[in-house]
Amino acid sequence: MTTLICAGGSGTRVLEAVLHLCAAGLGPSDLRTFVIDPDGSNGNVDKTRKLVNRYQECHEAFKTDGHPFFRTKIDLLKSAQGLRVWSPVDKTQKFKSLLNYSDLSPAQKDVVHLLLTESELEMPMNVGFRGHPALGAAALALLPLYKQDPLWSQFAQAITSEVNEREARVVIVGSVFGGTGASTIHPLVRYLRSLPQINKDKLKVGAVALVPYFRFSASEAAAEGGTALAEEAAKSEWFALASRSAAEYYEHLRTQDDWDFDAMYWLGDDTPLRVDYCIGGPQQDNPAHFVDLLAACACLDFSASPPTAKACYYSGPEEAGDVPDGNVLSWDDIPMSALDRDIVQERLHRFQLVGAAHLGFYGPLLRDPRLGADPHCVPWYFDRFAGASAELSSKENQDRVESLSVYFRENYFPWWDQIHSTEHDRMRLLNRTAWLDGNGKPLQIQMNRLGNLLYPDAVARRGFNPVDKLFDGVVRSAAGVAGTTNPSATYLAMLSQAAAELVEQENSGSIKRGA
Amino acid sequence: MGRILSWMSKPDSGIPDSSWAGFLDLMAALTALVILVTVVITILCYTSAAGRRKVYVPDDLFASYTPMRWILLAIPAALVAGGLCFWQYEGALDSTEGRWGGALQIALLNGLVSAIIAYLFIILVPRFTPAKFRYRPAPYLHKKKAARA
Repeated sequence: MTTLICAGGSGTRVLEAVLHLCAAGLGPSDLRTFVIDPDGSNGNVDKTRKLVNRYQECHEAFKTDGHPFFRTKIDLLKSAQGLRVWSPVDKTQKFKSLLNYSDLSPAQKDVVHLLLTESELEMPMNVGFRGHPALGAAALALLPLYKQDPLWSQFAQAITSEVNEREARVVIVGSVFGGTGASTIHPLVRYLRSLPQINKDKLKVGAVALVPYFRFSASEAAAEGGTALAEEAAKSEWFALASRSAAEYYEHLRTQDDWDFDAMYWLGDDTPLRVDYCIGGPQQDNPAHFVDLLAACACLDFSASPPTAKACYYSGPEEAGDVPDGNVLSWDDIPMSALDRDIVQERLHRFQLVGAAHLGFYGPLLRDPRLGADPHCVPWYFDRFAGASAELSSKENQDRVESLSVYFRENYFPWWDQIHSTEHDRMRLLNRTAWLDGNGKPLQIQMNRLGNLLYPDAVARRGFNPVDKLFDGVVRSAAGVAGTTNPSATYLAMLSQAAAELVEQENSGSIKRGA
Repeated sequence: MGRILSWMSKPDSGIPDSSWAGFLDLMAALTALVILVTVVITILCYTSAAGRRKVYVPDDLFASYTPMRWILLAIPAALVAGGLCFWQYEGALDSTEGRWGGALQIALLNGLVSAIIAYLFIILVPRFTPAKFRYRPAPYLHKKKAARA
């Protein structure tokens, strides 16, 4: 089993990306995950928590051997409340109380003052470490003291028993330019190494370190909003310096032979995306970014087969001449070693096709009252679902199908849209116009782009024939797809098989797109 | 060959039996030819129309199944056969007695048989209908299952 520990807001957004890739069938069979974030109320955490719940609904509804989608089982460490978010601090306390400052000796207080400013000591912990890794590192250094915490004791038990049977893979992901992520990665990997008493070499730990890929202006936001800017607020002007310090620190660990990582992936973008400034809390809901996608791929790559070189891996998009002052990202730029690039592209293309077809055609068809009156008009429905003991039209199955619609409509496509919304024409993975309406707003599936879901948007590839081809494929698959756990899963398996055929035809260039 | 039309009664007792038999032979050959040609053309047109029919939106699935209209080719076939019968009648039998009735019977025979044979081919030979419309030509055959759905 793979464990993904996400630290801070950036780490949480990577979890979002990992979940979407798992939904597309690229994840491991089991994934244990939790979040470390002192600001558990921030918008990104809340969004990801809802996504986890929705993913689990879809996993329960559609898990089957008939298709690869939603097959990853998410382990939330016996949490009944969904995604667990652990905080190393109490929201109500100030940082100095975390250090038990009042009980320190004068000499110890002097050391504290040497390392931390007065404003840092007085900083309330209600919205995290606000880009101050020194605070986070001090808090996370106390991790061994939390052995009795339900989350950590369950996690430690799971890792300990896992290494007795097989390789346990843990990936930690977070930014090294902010507060929580920067302060979590190294203390956590040290703690992890202390967990197994035997078979220590069976614990594989990878880290995904994110370097700046977004920026904001706290002073501009304060001026626009008319609010006073807190001195201790995170500032993106510090990001480069913080990243450099982190890189030097990890380089120091390597040269000192104190390297606990089996692999470390460094990812970023030197054309950072501008986002709205927010100190934390529910308003902190940064959009998804392609670096999240790259980080998710790195997580899954490590999960598939941890490298043995104990090395660092670097990634950034290739510079392109036709985009001034910007990088572009195409399929060939996604770094992967264990994962097969063609399979990743095919799987994402297929899932995109399934999602577009479901939202643009099959979902509305399944809700159409004419289907109940004249099921013979839709042969795949007539063959597999009409008159069957567990009908696709039953309330239970309609709910399952609806959960799939909601996932695609509210989670999957908006996420890809955010990924593709970066400035300029930088993302060259999917064709964004396939899900935009006439005003350039999401989400309205353009069925005439069903054969043009991959970048670029090409006039020659437009047309409705792929809709017809896909329907033909679904009719064919009705005879071949084995029965699954429920009619909804069978439906998705049929759609998946037909989509796979269409993707293969498109890749071989044998499809006519006109009409 | 004229035996297949033996149910047709001679309209005028003055017509020699040999002439009537010859006329029936002619009409039988004509009927066979017209039915054959009509069925072939109907199936070709049907197959082409059904093959060209696409599913782009859900409405396309519930729209009228227009390729079946090619069976109506039986009507012009009937008119052609009836007309030929009407035209050949006097020349073959030296009488106009019963010409309208004979032409009408031949027309009906050609039209009905052409339509029935073409329809049977369409519903019995799966390759003539694309899989996505396979239940459209004979929806009544699937009523029972549809009613359970």
